[in-house]
Order: sequence, then C-alpha cells, then structure tokens
Amino acid sequence: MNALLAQFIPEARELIETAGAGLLELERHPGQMSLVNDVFRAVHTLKGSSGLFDVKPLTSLVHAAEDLLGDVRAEKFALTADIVDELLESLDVLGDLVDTLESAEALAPDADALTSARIAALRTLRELQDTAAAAAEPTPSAAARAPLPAHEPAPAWLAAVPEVERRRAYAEAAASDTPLVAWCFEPEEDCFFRGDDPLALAASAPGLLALQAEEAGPLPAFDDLDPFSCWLRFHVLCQASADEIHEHTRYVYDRVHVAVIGPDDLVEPAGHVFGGEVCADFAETAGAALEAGDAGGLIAAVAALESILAPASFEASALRWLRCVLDARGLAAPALLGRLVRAVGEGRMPQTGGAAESRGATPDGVLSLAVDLLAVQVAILATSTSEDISAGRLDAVAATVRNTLCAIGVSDRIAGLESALQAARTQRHHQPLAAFIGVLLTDLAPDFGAPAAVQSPIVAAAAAGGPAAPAGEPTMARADQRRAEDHRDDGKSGATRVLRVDQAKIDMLMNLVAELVVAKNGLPYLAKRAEEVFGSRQLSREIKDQFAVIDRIAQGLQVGVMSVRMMPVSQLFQRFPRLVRDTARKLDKTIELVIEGESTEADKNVLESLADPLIHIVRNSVDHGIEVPEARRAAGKSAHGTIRLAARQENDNVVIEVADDGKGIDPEAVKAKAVRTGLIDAGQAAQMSDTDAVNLVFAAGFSTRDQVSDLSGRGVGMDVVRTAVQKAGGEVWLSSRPGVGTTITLRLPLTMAVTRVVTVLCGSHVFGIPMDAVAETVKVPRGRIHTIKDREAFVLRNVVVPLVRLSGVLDLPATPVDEDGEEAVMVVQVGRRRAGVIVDGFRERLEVIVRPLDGLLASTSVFSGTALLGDGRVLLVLDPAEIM
Amino acid sequence: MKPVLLVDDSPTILMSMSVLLSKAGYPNEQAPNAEAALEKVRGGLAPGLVITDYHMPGMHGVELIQELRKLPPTRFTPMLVLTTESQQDKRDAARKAGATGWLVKPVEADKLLQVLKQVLPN
Amino acid sequence: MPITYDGDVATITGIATIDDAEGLLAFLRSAHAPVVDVTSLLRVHTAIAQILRASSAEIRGDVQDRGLAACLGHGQRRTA
Repeated sequence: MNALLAQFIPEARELIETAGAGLLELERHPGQMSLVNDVFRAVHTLKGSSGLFDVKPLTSLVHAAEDLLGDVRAEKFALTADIVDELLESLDVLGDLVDTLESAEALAPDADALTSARIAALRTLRELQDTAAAAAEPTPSAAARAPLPAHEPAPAWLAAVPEVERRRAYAEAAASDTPLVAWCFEPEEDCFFRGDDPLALAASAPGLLALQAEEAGPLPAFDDLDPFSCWLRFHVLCQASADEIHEHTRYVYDRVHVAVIGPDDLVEPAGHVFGGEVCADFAETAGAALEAGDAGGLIAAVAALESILAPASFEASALRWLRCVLDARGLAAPALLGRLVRAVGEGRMPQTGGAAESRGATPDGVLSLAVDLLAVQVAILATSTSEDISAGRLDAVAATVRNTLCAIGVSDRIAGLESALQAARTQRHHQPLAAFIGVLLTDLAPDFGAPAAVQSPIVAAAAAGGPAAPAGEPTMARADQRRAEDHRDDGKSGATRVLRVDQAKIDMLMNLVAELVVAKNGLPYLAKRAEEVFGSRQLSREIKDQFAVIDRIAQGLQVGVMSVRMMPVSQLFQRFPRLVRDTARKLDKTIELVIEGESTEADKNVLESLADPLIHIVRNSVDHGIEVPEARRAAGKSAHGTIRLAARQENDNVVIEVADDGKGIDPEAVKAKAVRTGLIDAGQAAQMSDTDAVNLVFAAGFSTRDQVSDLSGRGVGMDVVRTAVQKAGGEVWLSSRPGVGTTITLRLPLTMAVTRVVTVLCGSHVFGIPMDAVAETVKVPRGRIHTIKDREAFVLRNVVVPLVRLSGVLDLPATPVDEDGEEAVMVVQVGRRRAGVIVDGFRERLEVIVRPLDGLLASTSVFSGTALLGDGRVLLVLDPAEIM
Repeated sequence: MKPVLLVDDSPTILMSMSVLLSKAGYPNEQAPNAEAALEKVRGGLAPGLVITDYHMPGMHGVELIQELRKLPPTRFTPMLVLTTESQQDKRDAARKAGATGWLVKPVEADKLLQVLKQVLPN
Repeated sequence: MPITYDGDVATITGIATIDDAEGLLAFLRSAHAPVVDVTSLLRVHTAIAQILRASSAEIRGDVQDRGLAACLGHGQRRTA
C-alpha cells in the first residue's frame, strides 16, 4: 500500500469517530455551536483529504453530509433525532468504505450504489427542513403593515417571562420594527476563574427587555455550595439584532444560543381558566366586531369583560393581550387578534396553521405546565399516607386533574377520569387513578423525557421517542463528569506528541520483556552452581552482583513496556453512547448514559477481553433493567432512566461499574428459577441470602429471560460474562434492590503482571503456587495429623487447619511417608479460607508471567495458567482457591 | 476604583494606552513584561483589569495570565490579551488558559473604551 | 467594605464583588435568621447574586440591580 493511503486510513477513521462522538454529544446539548463546528470541521477535513484518492463515491457522501451539517451550522434548521440518525448511518457506511479501502486498496464495486442511497437520503432531509423553515415564514400581506416574520420556533422559556414585561416588550418591538432576539446563556461552571461576571454580561445586553435566571442543574445543599462555581443559566430577551448579541457575547460565544423571534412569539396568555357563558358571549360579539373592522366595538367589549373578570384568570390575560396588540397595531394584525378572541372563548390559545407545524413537538407554555402538574399529582398519589387522608386526597387530585384538562381543552378525557376515580374509591387504592394519569401524560407529551419549560430542571435524555427539542430551546445540561474529563484530557494531549505504533510491534516487545524477566532469574541459580559445582566463590559473587544490575534494569523495562500497553478505558467506553442511544430508541425508552473515570488506564489485553462482557451487561440494563417511561412514572421515578458506567483504579486493579436505576432483580424470582432448573435445592434456597441469590444469575445455564431477545444477543447468559472476566484474571459480581436498580461490578488486574510463585514437588512433577496465596510453609510430623471422617487436619497455633493432599487433587501417585516422618505442608490462604496443602517438597521461588490457559486444559479449573521457565520448560501454576 | 494593569514590551503602545485610559478616567499602572507585572501584583497591586500583549520577551501573555490566576489578588480579575490572532481556536486556547477575552491589535481607542465599559462596569 | 455585618444583618453598599462572596456565604450559613439589606446596593457580582438566590435569607429593601432582581425572581422573594 502506498504510504499516503496508509496515512489516510487511520486519519479517516479518527475523523469519522470524532464526527460520530460529536453528533451524540450534540444531541444531548443542542445548540452548542462549538460542537457543531467540531463535527463540521471533522467532516470538512475528511472531504478534503479523501479527494486525494480515487474514491469518488466516498467523497460525494462526505460532501453531502458536509452540506447538511453546513446548514445546521448556519442555523437554517435544528438538529433533530432523524437528522442525527441519518448522519450516524452515513458515518457507518463511510467506516465500512474505509475498511474495504484498507484491505483491498480500492473501494468495493458496489460502493457507488451504497453511497447514492445515503446521499439521496441526506439530500431529502435537507430539502424537507428547508421547506419547513420556509413555510414558517408567512407571506407578506398587502395590509397597511406587514407582519414581522417569525424565524424559528420560539423558546419555551419565553412563556415564563412575566406577562407585564412581555407586553411591554411587544409594544416596543411592534412600534419600532427593530428585531427581537431571545437568547439563552449557560456560563461554564469555572467561568469566574476567567474573570467572567456572566450576570453582568446578561444584564448589560443591548436593548435588554427581560432577564431571567435559573439553576443550570440540581443544586447541592446550601452548606455544600462552592461560591466560586457558577451554577446559574440565563434567558434574555433583547430588542436588538442577532449580530449585536453575538458581538456582545463574543468571548463566550460557545455558551450562548441566540434565537431570532417575532413579537407574536411573546403573545402567550396564561392563568387558570374561568370558563363561563360570559366569555363565550364575548367571543361572539368581539369576533363579529373584528370581522366588521369595528375597532371601537372591539375595544369596548374587551374593557367591559375585563372589568368583571379576576385578573389572574386566563381570559383576563388574553384580554390584556388584546388591548396590548390593539394599542400597538390597531386592527393590522387580524389573525393574531382573532386567535386572542377565540382564546377568551375557548380557554386556550389556538395555534396558527403554520406555527403548529414549525412548533412541532414544543408544548406551548400552558401544556408544559399542565404536564408538570399532572406529574406532580402522580407523585402525590404515590406518597404513603393514612387511610382517612387518602380518600380526601383522591378527590383533591381528581379535582386538580379535572381543572387541568379543562384548562388545556382536553375535556373529552374527563369521563375517563371520573371512572378511574370511582374505581380508586371502590378499591380503596390510588392505583387506577395513578394509571389513568400516567396514560394521560404519555398522550399529552409523548416526548416527555425531552427538555421542558422553566420550572422543572428535567435533565435532557439521551434518546426520545419523538423529535428532539428544536433549536429554539437549548438544553445545555449541567457539565457532567464526562465533559469535565474531556476538557481535562484535551488540556493534556494538546501538549504531548503522539506516535502511531503497530500493535504487533508492542506485543513483540512485551513477549521479549517477559522472556527477559524470566531469563534473568536463571542467574542466581548459575551463581549457586559456580560456587557449589565449580568451587568458585569469587565468580559466584560477581554473577550475583551483575544479576542485581540486570534485575534493576529489567524491572524498569518491564514497567515501561507495560505502561505502553496501558490505555484509557475511554477506548472501551466510547462505543456505549451510541449503543445505548440506538437500543433505547428501538425500545422507546429514554435513557441517559453517564460515564465516569474515562481516563482510568488498564492493559490493552484486559480491556479487549472486557469489550464483549460489557456490551452484554449494558444491553441487559437497557433491555431488561430500565423500565419504559410509563412504568417508571407509575412507580414514581423520573421518566428517563440512568445508566452509570464508571471506572476507577483500586490498588492493583481496575474496577468497572455498570449501575442502573431500573427495576432491579428479584432475589425470590432468581431463587425460584434456580430451584426449577435444578441448580440448587429448596433447602439451599431457603437459607440463601439475597445477595448470594442475585449472584446466581452468573451460574452456568441460568438466564433471567425465557425468550431470547434479539437485542441482548443470542440468549447467552451472565455465565459467559463471568467466564470471560475470570479468564482475564478478574471477578464480577452483582448487587441489586428490586424497584431501585442494579449494579454490576467488574474487577480486573491492571496488567498481566509478573507473579511470584513458589514451586513445589509432587511426585516427580513440579508445580507453581502464587506466593501471595501462601501464608507459610511448615513441616508437620505425621503424628500431629488428625483424621476426622476421612478428612485430614492439623493444629497450627491453636487453630485447626484442614489438609489437602496435592497428589490427591492432581490424581498423581502419593509418595508414602513413614510413621515418624514429616509431611511438607504449604499453608495457603484465599480470602477467609485457609488450608494446608501436603506436597512432596518445596523448591525455589520464581518470578514468572502466568498466561491463562486455553484449549483442553482450560476446563480443568485446578490450574490458573502456565508459565514459561528460563530453561524452556513449562510450569503449571495451581489455583489455590480451587485446590481447597 | 481599582487600577488597570497594562503589560506590553513596546513603550510606545504602553504609553498611548496609559494616556488614553487616564483621560477616560481609569487609573492605570504599566509593566514592560510579564515578570515586572507579576512583581507588581506580588508587591501588593490589586488591579481591576489586566490588559496584556501576547508576544513579549520571557513569558508570553497567556502564560502571564495563567501565573496571575494563581495569585490571590488576581484570581478572578478580568484579563484581556492583545493579539493579532484571528483564528478562533487560538482565541479559544487563550480562554481555556484563563483569559476573559481578547482585543485585536492595533487597538482603536473607542473599541478599547467600549470593552472597558463592558468588562469593568462602574 | 461593600458588605458589613451586624449581628444577623448584612448590609450591602455600592458594588459587591466576588471577593465578598466567601464572607457572605459564611454569614448566611452561621446566622440564625439572616437578613440582607440591599437598600444601598448598586450592583453585585454573579457569585453574590447566586448565593442570595440560593439562601433563605430575608431581603430587605428594593432591589436596584437588574441582574440581582432577575436572580431573586421578580418579587417572588420575601421583602421587608
């Protein structure tokens, strides 16, 4: 392969990886311009470098993706989940093309067909979005004053700005024809350490009309607050152009999202619905006056009704808006006036034709408040209380739901509400009512996991059933650990130089180092021979000195080469955001993946052996652990589930945890299944602790789901996971609380380290036992060995220690020892268990590299591995736990 | 009012910025390089704003900012870099290192005053 | 000093900067029923505003600083 292509392949892979990761991150934090730029730049660079080669279909596909991203970057339209899907698929295809390019040095013959389908899809998406954006702009009317065009769906937080400020803003905007912008600013947590004063920046914005502050995420307790960390984010309404705001915020451009809005976006009446005939009458009269162009009549009707309504009512709010619009623009906005008039009559603000589509899934302010209110009702019902209070509570909750339904104009569900209430009363339980509200919630807000309006700090979900929030509602969730890790890593890697090295070269180095470590250990033996066999003490001493020097160097070399193979677990974790997102989407679940400790390092081989088990575990969590949003709501949990993937170093191990807040594992169900499949008997089941019970899932032949779900793989169970982990020298276990969640922990050695072993004789064979399992070695006279029910034991410092004959364990002929002879006993200890192993003799201590067994011997559990000795022999290393 | 600290190795630029600021009512101190600037702060100067050139003999402007961030009086002080750099990622790097913002050289009088008003509101 | 403390009452005068944040936080944590007098307050740094917002202290006086007013929620806070 020519050198240029060899350079392009890994570069292309990196760019594709960067773009993919950036897209996933962008989906969680829409509107963050620096992310869009990153993705765009990666794709742009890929387009450029691919142009050097004869790979036209590849370049065209990249070009199409770049065009789509370019539009997103220019804020022509927002990045919806569909667009992300399409782009990710295209990146997958590009990855495949690069793979073919690597092995065949040319694209596959069907590359053209593959890519044209994708290119067409990307192009269609672009056109669709363009037409949607165009449709949102109303055609200029011939009336006295052209209505100001709305550019994007208005951010949902706008409705929460106090009405009096919005009306003032409307008046100003309509009067002077200056543009209106609504922008959201989320400063970095550590911005104070850059000399920033974000509140001052927001409050000094040009043309400031309204300013709102809110917490960017859940706060710790007051006593734990860090005064030098910024935890607020701001919503600002300005009478200024987008350019002016961009200029004003140029130093923090990547923390700001600017949406150009029209004055009409400010018009949002709110309040509790009064209802009543008088409002319906008004709607008729006022409607007629409007149609007839009778401004005076309309104004009079508004004044009349306003004077008798409670100011906090929805209708009064709509009337104030009518007055505001009439004052500002007279009758020049008949559509808006008409909607407001109908709002008084219907108790809700009717949508415009075009606006409904462009708003898409954004609930208007009232709907999102209603959804929040209903969610609170479910939570109220779920809290435990006494009998006499619960009856009254049912009525209170039902009344609230009834009023809410009226307020949002969904009165046809009231009949269902009444029967749910009746059922709850009869059953003396809140469940029927809670279930009804749960269904109501999913109907009202299908993408309920998605970002909502101001009041509730709902965390943005990794995937949703419906489209992600439009660009007008940025949801920059609190900078989580993952991002913090990224920034820290960026700081580091920016300064270091990196070499690309072929994996095979490193493996070869590793093997040489291993052999060196073992070979050097032959020197002390040589020194002994020099003294004992050849009678040269001087030579022996010199050999020992030289050995010390070589030993030191070899240790350093070993540590150095080991560290080359250490990689951050981010290598392992990077596939999971995509995996979780895609799987959750397929199952209509909303799941957030939190990743911690990405920079923790472990040996490359260890990480590779973990890849499949981890995928299986995470898939299990998504598939069986986290419940669907309705079930979660009904259980009083948040609609979105969380999976936490965390890595940390503990002594010589790397510990990885996969924790979910799903439905947990029921120890009783596991026990029952284990008894059914004959794994344990009823007696054992009765005595088993819950912790031990749930860990039964790792037993061979067990699987907690009867059907094979295609998402979790071929029905392989956790036993395969455990085997793989143990093969890498580690351990895996599980803890769970039904209804609360499950945590799976994997612990693995940091490196395939050198093990110190003691060699022992058994007959004529030599075996090794890891020294850290050996507590001590003793010679026990035959007379002191007691036999109890054909088990042997002896007393060691007042403690009875069971004995085991190695020859028995290994099925080798036993060497007889006479009555008053001594047995050589090696006392081994694993955890709390202790036993004495009777051997035929002790030999030297060695340092070896233990390689796990494979092939025939792997099924014999009594050995943990083999080691290559300095003289070429193979030493079998015993597993002390298995001998006991 | 806390003084502005101006750091630049060109005496001409230092002088012209100083005169401009004084005329506009901003007390200010000058330093010809990073080390001198650090000396002043260690010696007790608590500036309300630091404006530093990027290219200077010895420590460059962004390194100076990083050092200043370690000193108590200037942990949270707004700091601006004078730069000819028009590339966004160089500016991003300056911000990551602790700069509040940047000014493009040669600085125009009204631009300087406008930024001062923004970053040092009084 | 922009912030002075007298028993359970903290008074902010003029401009309060981030350097005053730690002292204010300590006061709010230790005082039994803290009161913050903002009558003579001109402007505060974000760090001060967010602490006041998060605390349950009683705010005495009309808030003149637009930024602080936004943080305190436009009159949703109790005023003396």
